[in-house]
Amino acid sequence: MPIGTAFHERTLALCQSLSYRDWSGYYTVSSYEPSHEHEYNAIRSAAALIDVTPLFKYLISGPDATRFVDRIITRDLSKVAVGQVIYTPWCDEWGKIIDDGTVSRLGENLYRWTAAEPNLRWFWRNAPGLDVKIEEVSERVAALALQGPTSARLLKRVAEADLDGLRYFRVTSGKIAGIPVDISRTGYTGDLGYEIWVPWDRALAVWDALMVAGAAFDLHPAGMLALDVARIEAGLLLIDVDFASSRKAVIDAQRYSPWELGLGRLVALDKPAFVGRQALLAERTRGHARETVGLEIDWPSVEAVYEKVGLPPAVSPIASRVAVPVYRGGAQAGRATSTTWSPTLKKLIAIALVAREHASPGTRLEMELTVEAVRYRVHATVTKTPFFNPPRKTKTPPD
Amino acid sequence: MTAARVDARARDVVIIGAGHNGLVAAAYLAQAGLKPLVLERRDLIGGRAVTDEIHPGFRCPALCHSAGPLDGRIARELDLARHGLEWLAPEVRVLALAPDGHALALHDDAARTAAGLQPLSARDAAAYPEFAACFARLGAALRPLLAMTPPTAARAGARDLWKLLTLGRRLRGLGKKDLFRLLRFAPMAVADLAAEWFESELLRATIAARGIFASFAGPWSAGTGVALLLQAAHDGHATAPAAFARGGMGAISQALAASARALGAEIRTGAAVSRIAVRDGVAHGVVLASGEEIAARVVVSDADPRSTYLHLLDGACLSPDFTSKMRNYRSVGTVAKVNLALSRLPRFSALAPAGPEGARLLSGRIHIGPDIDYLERAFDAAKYGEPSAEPYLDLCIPTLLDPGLAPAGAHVMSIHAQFAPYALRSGDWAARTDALGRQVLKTLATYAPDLPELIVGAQVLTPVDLEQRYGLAGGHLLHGEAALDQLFAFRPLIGWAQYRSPIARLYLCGAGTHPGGGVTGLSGRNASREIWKDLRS
Repeated sequence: MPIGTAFHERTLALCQSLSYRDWSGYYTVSSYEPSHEHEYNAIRSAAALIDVTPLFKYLISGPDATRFVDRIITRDLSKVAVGQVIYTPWCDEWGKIIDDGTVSRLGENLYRWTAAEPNLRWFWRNAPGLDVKIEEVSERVAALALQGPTSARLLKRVAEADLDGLRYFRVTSGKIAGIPVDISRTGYTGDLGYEIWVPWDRALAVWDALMVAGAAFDLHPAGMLALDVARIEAGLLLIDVDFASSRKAVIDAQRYSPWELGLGRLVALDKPAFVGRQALLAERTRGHARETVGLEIDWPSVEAVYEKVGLPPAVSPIASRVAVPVYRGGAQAGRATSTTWSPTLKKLIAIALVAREHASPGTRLEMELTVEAVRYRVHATVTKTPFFNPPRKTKTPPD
Repeated sequence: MTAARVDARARDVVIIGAGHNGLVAAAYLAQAGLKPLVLERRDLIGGRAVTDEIHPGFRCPALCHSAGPLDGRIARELDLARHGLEWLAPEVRVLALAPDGHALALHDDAARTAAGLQPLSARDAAAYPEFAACFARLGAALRPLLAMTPPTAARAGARDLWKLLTLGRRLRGLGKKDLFRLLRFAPMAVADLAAEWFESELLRATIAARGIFASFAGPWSAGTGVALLLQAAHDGHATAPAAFARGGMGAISQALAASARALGAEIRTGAAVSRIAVRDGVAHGVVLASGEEIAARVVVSDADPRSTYLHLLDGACLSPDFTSKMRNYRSVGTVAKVNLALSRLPRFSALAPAGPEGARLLSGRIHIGPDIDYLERAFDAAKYGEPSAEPYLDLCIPTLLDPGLAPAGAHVMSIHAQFAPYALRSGDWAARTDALGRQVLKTLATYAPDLPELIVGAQVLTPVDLEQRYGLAGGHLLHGEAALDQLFAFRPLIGWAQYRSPIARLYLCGAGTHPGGGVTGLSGRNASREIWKDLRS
């Protein structure tokens, strides 16, 4: 049975829908209100507060901390300054992705590493011969995502930290309500926003300070349903939905390389050694077989299907995590793994995994659409992700 | 792409460690026309096969005191006699002593051994010739395995299957009874095996001792029977070998080095390798502790597998999966070495009165561990991180056949003391070395009461010394347990028993590869064959 996060006392009181889900063993709000639409709109038009405490968090320190992290991740740490945060995958020795997450360089040899899944054993297995301390701090550090166009102004109101100077994917330390916190300009929404790393036992005071000040900025606590729509718009992948960890794979098709997930630019093959490098070198030479792309579904084609059935066109406001077949001509070209109506773009969009020959932007494909338990195909066009990428996401100083 | 990047000044082959296998590999590769460079961290070549001055004027085989024996082909092919190697043939292979004054001499000649057994047990005397003949037959059937590169069971190719088929036919030639014995003996506890053949405790214990020598195992441990089969494969006998060279074990190394040099190899001492340089999964040289970098087309490690993979390589070069398997490779040392300089030959109660006859009986290996329970109790302590209160001792007095090692009339005694576990439950070896030495002397004094007063110099080497001075990871005398799960196609790891490593152009040639174990030179010879095969293709 799940347990509450450090913010449970507050989120429970606010969760009118009583709609929870299990995220890594924690109760996590799906939507506070019966529908997640206000929460989604807070992310894109005001500010949203999301409890992301269930992320796995590790603190890496010691003289060989940099060597250790660099040995595991595919990106090159020598290009990462203190105060910088990177998003990176890490692979097994066959070059297949185990997990992805962010690595914050807090000091020359001090890192906070977040992951979607438990990685402690993998870290230990890569530590032999290195003078490194690996601590799992998942239950010592609580985390909040403060996301949306008004998030910077709100945060400036409550936090003692240099937020004007804080660039995208940078981290700084500061205080909220007198409590020492780390603030990174990161998030899972593709919008202007921050993640705030808080000592577990003082988490509620930070929540309260943000909520009180947030009233003036139309701050809403937001749940996973709203976040899911936002992350698809931002083209951000979700483990167990858009790909799977190679650790859980049963067949080869369930193993994904960084190139297949569109993360090839994050693989520093010129780095002398890291787990999976040999296999990744070989894959670069050989070429990858599949690619993750964006799909824009042709709305008139959806309308046509509904018209044929005799129904008005309808689409769920909730993002779908059900994989559906994608075709080109008569043959299957791949599958759409995450599909959502984008309220901001007014488009039906999807993240899809297709054979490489179907991956170039502009390629016309078809996606399965089921209406009244009958399968139809609608037109879709391969597009680059992110679907939505506002300038405010990276603007410094922020508005 | 890789070939184009090879340094023009690169050496053909760099061999890490001038242990006997490293020297054997160097000599064979030189014979093939390469110019190997052997790098030895110590000032003395030989690794485990060295003769050290333990006290002014007293030279003693510092670690191993007998060859395994050295494979006859190696001695011939490398012309070791011409390079000064002279074998000494003791009359007795193993002399076992009991505290009650009994002694039992095992000779290479089974009939002679049987005659000596008569007073102890008529039944054992009758059984011994068949025991000896049985192991001679089993050994002969297994012998071809020793010089063979083990198959890759994980991905057996046509050649591997052919090799196994050939072996299978040879084993069928053994006949049904011996084949059954072969299959039964290897996984058996050696105490059971010995008890099936013999009734007298002293003989049982002497036979069983070979099953546990240098191992983290007692006579009741399953699988200890395999060591008897392995010994029989080497020289047709189930008991400890007494293959001595004039000048001690170091003389074997010196002859190998002389042969290797004559064939064109270069040997540098005082050259400790701190790291194997790897780029893009390919070894391309070594870096010395001094910082000097030596480029090479091929790097061969005579160091044990754990040292090679876990200490000489950057962990990022190896897959975490491989590394964790390597970390589970069992190499926890259990043997301490005590070397004594003695003013004269001690008087052993069992052989009184002393005389030329006594000296002849003592000239092979001497076994102390009079019954199975004694050996098991000695092991019990090690299981719980303590040295044995009454250790099992395997010793020899090299000066009996080779008086030149000590001043006239004086002697040296080389003692393997078991069990002295590498990892102690309490305290550390630095603080407990003296106590260990005293314990060994106390045990010896039971059999040779005048021994303590004859000591003019003593050296005690604990497993930690074996690790620090001789570079044996875990202080394991045999570069890792020679047990069923770590032999043949499993030595050191399944899939990596062909002398190759996950790093291209990096090879292993030490005792941590098949057939491993003692000083036989076969690992070096087999490795050189595989290396040459790769270089030629």
